[in-house]
Amino acid sequence: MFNLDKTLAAWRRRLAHNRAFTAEDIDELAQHLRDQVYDLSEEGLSEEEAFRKALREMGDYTSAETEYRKVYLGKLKQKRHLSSELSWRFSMLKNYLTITFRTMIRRKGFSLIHVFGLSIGLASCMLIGLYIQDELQYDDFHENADHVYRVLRQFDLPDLQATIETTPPALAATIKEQLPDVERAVRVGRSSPVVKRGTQEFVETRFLDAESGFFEMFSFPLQHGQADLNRPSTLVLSEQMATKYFSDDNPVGQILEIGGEAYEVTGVMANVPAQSHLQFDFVRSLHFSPDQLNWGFNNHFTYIQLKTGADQANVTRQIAAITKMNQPEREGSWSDFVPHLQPVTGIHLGLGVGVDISSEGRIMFVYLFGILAVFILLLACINFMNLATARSMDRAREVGMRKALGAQRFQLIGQFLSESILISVIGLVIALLLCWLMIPTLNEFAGKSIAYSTLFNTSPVLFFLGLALCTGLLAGSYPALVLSHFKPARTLKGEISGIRRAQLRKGLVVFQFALSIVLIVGTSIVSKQLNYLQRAGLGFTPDNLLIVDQVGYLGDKVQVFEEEASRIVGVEHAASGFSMPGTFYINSMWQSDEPGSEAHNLDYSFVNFDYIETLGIDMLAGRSISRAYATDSFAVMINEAAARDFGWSTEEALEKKIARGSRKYSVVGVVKDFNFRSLRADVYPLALFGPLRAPRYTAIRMNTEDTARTIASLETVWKQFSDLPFTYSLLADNLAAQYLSEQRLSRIFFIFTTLALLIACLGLLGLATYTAEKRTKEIGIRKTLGASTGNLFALLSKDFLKLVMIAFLIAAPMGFLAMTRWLEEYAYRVDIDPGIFLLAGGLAFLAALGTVSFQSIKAAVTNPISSLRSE
Amino acid sequence: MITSSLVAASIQPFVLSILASGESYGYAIIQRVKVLTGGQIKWTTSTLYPVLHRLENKGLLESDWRISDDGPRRKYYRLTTRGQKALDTEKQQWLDVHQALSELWNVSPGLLPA
Repeated sequence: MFNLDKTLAAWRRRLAHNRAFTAEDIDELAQHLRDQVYDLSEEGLSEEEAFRKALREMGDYTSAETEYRKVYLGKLKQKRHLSSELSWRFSMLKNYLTITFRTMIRRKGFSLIHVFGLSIGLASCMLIGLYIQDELQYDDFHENADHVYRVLRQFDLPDLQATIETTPPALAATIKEQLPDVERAVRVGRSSPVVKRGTQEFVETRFLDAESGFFEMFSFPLQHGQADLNRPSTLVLSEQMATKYFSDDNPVGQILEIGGEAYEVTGVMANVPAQSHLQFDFVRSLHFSPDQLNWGFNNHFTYIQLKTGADQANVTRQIAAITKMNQPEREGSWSDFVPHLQPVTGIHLGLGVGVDISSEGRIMFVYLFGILAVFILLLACINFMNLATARSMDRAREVGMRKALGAQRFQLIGQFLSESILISVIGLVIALLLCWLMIPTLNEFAGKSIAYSTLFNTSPVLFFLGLALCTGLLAGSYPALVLSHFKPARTLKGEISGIRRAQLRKGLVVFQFALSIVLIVGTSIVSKQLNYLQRAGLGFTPDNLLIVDQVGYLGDKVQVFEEEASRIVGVEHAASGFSMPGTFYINSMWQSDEPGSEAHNLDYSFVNFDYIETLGIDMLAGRSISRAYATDSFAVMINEAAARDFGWSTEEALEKKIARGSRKYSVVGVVKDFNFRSLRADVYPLALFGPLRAPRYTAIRMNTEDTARTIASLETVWKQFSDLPFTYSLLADNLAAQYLSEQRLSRIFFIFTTLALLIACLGLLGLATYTAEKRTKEIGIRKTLGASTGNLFALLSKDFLKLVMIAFLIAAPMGFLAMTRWLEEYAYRVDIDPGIFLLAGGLAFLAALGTVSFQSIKAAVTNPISSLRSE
Repeated sequence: MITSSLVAASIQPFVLSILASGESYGYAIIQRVKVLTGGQIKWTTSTLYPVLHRLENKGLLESDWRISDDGPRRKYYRLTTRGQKALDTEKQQWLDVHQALSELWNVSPGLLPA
């Protein structure tokens, strides 16, 4: 029975799907139909016939739509319809959101991986960004940061190339007097005295000696009192030290005993921020007596502050002129330096070469991490797009249906784009959360103290928001544009072309796995090497070895100092030298005394008697230079490497002489190779002469547990010989510091390896999912033809595992080359074990297998009937 | 069969003119034009309604939903003052054209409005 109302209602519902018609329009048209049906039935037609005729006369569906839409768009231009337009848009958006959520929930696992993949990529990028930002910001907090420089000594001579951070004390004084462009010049020295108050007695290593002008040049704000560095024996404490020594009392005006002398506390300053290259808790006033104002002994840092507008190059030239005039006439290259101004903001990242090997974050790391960050981000984003595309393939049918029901192209585009952007924004939010959670871990790994607040600085957040939106846009654009374009019938049937896309995706997966394999190889070898380094023989014993610095100040009393030091309970040996393991050695060309012999490059230095014993170096042949032999002023000890260089055996060498110019030295002893530079460099040929030049260091071998007491005693002894601060370090600590950066590097390597592998697996998962869907029918047929689950599993997985194989073939040689290069830097190195490559390949293979098997098993187990039926 | 371009050109003057003599609704307007032209012009829904809506957007027409005399709820349109002005302009233009053509064809100028 034809029911006009029912039919009309159905007709209305159909029309309602089409967004071009408003409810009002539909009412109008419906009424029009009724009127026409009425008229036609008056003419004699039945209601049903009348309706059909009316409907036919109503005209072409699509052109009506087009017309209505044109009008509708015209309406948009009318301001008074704007609010209804907005509400329309909002409801559209809500619609998209609902669909997005529904789609995500329907495939929870997939969506989770999809979103997480992006989050991990964004989060790692953010964390690295924070690290880099922190590194770059060192010393930015000083008000005068742009004008403050540290003066360095640069040596660029044939036998000496180095940059050293210490300068002669006279330099600053002269600069102050003579250069108008310099606002102020401040000398700063480091020391580690024993600080005492009442019963509290500590060795404080975070100690600076500075002259007045320090607190004007640098922005270390004072909280109580003031700095009075002009007066001798004054001290400024940090907050934490004030609490340590004075608890709640006001320390200003009180006395602290430093190195046996009384200092008055004149002020308390805020704790030094982490991003300062100068880390200290105490500043005491620094004064120079007239004979200390020389050009010879270099043990202080000189900082200068230029006036605004002063030209750095100009000032450098002026300083160079000063140093040229004042260099003492004496042989040797120590005085032949060229001054170089290093901006204070560059100190942390830049030069770390020379005597002072304490620079932590080097600029190289910053670049390296920057590249890694971009890399991982790229991988994550590309993965995101890949997965989005793969998933959209499944939606082809949905798309077809929507179109058949009258969805407009722009609606589909809008939907896909909004979905994709929404997902990427969710990914961003999760990334921020992850980043926030991981900041403490980052701080631990990198030795930093990055605050949570830096995460929410506007510019990086905006950047990442933009990135997420772009990724979402790009990811959504493919399905949006391509799918919405198809004819509904085709998409319903599931015919999608995309061979090139598939190949690109495969290529990407290979790339990701290759990278992961290289990283696994890298990590294993790096950590293996590190472990080796720490256990490897140094050639001397670093434990309990204390190195006193600036012994040169003792002048000719060094010998006496050594003797006095040896007498201390707890000191086994004491011997001075121009160089110590890890410090600077002079380098020059030497020949043997045989006529016509070749010149060889040797590192050399000057050491006092008992040097070898104190350091615990093995003497392979002959003897140590000793005071027992008067001729020993022309004696030399060489190491195995030197002997080999000259072509002598250990025994042969003892009868030989080495010469430079007219000077000849007899080899009296051959020592076993020991690491006098660092484990990075090859063990260089080395020659050690007697005490022909004033030493800089004294090595003290301690044999007691109570090192603090011994050190205190040493300082007391020192005080007998010099007013200057007692500067020392423990060799073991110095070495550990060197490896710190390597350790960090290997840890971070490890993390990135895991990340890369994870991302690679995600990419593979996407690919596997997509392919599995495509082949459901094939699988169904194969099953009905009798294939077992095992067969099918193998069939489906085979292709992917092939990809991993290819990745391995690419990665293995690359990894080998890269590692060989890196290991070349080390004198003592581990072998590159082929087992590592097998391990890496195996790991990648297993990971891939795990990822793929999930999909393969699922597909293999599906009931063939259902997969064949899904048409 | 009147050419589509002529049909299209005449929609607006027809609509405005019909509504000038009183408000009406879509279906009725279509029927009226059919009668006036002796069946030569038969507008479809997609011809008329978009035009009505557009004219309303432009402010030449006003509309409201009314329970009509014979029962059902319909959307009635009427001319606004702007619409009246537009109609006058439209009329003038058509008459100018008509006059020129009539001279060419030597037809006596007849169809002057009352």
